[in-house]
Amino acid sequence: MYGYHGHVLEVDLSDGSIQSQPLNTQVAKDYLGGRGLATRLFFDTVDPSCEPLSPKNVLVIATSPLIGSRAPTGCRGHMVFKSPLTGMIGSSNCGGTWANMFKSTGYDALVLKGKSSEPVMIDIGPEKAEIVPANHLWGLDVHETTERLTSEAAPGRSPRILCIGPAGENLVRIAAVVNDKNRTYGRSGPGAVFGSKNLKAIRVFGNKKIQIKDEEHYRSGLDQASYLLKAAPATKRILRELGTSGLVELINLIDMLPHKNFQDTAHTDENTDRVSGETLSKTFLERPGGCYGCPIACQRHTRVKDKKGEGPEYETDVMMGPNCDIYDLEAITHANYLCNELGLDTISFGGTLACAMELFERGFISQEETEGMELRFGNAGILEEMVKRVAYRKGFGDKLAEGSLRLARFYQHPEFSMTVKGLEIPAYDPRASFTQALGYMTSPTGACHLRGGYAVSLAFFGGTREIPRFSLLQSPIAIRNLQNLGILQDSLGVCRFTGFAFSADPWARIASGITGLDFSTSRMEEVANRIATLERIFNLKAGLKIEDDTLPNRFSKESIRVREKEITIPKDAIQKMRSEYYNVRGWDTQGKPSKSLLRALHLDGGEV
Amino acid sequence: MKGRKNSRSEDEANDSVRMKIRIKFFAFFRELFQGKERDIELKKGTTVGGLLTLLCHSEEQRKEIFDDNALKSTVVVMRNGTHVHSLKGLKTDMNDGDTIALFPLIGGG
Repeated sequence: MYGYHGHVLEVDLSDGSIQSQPLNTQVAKDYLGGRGLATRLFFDTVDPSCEPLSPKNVLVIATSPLIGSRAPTGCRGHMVFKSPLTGMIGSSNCGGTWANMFKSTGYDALVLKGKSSEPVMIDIGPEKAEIVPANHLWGLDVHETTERLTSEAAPGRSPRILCIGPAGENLVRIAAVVNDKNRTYGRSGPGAVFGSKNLKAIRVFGNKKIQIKDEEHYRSGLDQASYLLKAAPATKRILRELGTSGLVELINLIDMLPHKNFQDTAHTDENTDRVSGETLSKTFLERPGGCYGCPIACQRHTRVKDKKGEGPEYETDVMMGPNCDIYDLEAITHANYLCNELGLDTISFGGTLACAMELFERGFISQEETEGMELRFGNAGILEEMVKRVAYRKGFGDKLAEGSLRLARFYQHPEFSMTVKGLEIPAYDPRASFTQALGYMTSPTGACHLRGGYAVSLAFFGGTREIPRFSLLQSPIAIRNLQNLGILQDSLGVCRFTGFAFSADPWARIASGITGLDFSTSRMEEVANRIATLERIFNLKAGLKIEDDTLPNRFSKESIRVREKEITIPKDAIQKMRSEYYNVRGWDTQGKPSKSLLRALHLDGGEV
Repeated sequence: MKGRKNSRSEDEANDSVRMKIRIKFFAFFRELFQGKERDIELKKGTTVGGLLTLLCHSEEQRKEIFDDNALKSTVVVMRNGTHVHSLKGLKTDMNDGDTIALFPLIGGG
């Protein structure tokens, strides 16, 4: 096979077996790689009704045919598992260097099953893969684990480390899996799934290269991609200069920046300036950085006083900052460092903390329960301590470790959890863009701007005319298209930010050139529809109901001010957009894929 | 009724002469225009295009904002939080107290 190595590594941690299975060529054609390949392998292996933190859960990590090539940003791995936070499909994508090195061990994907009786790590080299005891690593943070496993590698090798921190070990439902110390598979709680399997880390080192079928076609795609990335300001210089936090000011201007657990979107100019990308660049930024093969370089390598680290990114900045009424960039950056070290998803942590703050201020959580801690909005002094308490499930942190929905339910006020399907909403208020709102509602993983369709990006930075902010009629088609583009980017193993420069065309040339398979734009559209439908089938089998495709009541009942108007998303608007979305996806009125769609996508037998 | 009438005619008299506009600069436009924001008094009826023309003193500034006489496709101009593409582009009018924000085409998240 060209582009692929043609092998899937299957590791059963219960019985310690390790097997190399052939990659089915038809599966590669139908699912491409990354998110698509991982979803198919996951679906074929897991029982959808399994308890996510039980040995029955399966976690798949997949690469794409572009990984190992010179495709810009083509370094991203994708994880699929059943989420301990949502009970639905968990799907998380990450850059860095690990996925590229994993592929060079000679495998396209890794399927993890079962549960080890003792803490272990998996060591994958060019000659063999083995399960190794990891008692000596249990309890170490992400940075310590990474350094230890790197230093213990055979001489002359520079392995890459993927691991969890204490949060994953402690089965914190918002725990991340991290590579390169600071690049995280954050969303949906994959760290807890690692922890539940007693799996601390996966160390990889390889030297196998992929074969390219049609160099000329491949190179023409590379040239086109490279030219377009240099022509668009975001990918040419803005992300390098400001990082993703460069969005703070713009998102505030369009009344979309969440405040106090999404109670409103009102901030003073002075406050947003304190946490903006412009300010970050002038204060803590030491240098920008990039993932493997990335010319964009949005990473923020920062220093606060004597401590160095990475971040904050836009989502972290806003969810731990303004959404908690905190505008202290130093405190946010420190808390970000700690989340990376202890292995927490910063978006869900910020959303859960904001929920706890609202419950506290409304008197549903007492100061006695928080062991004297003033869990008030604006209290930047508690950020770091709360990260520690959540990661170690210490005292009151144990309740936040369950995520905001379980926290709010515990206090019998689930209405204060700003989640969809149990996943915390990221840093764009849905009332300020109905298209983004519909993306949160219909994302297979719950409220995720990356799996649900990143409407904000293209609506405001790519072409405002294409995606009106408040159109009930156009939002369903627009978000379906954006979701499909996202599915393709995740399945190609490339970065969402390339979407600021181009959509599918250069990728079609690159993917087809590498593999010699037909990955034309129209074929890739079919692939994206197939993946979206398979994710839907899994969720339905896992118990998803139509009423789960919705938003918290706050967004229908409480308005925000957008362009001098009071805006809510009325219930009937939610229902109308949802029905029309099902329609454009080819799903029935209950959100179930129709028989004719299943046939057209070669998903026969997927009826639910 | 009488009071409202008087106030309206006073407003009309002021409006007929000048209006105050606040301009906010973001990302590398802060370096390009040397500041975060600026208040400027303009003749009533000045459009967004007119304002941008007044702001651009150097060739470098004009090159970053205009493509010939059109707004460069990589520039985002907002009037009170609304992209002028959704209004009348460079012909978008302005009222006293409006805020105009100027961004390069930005990305992230």
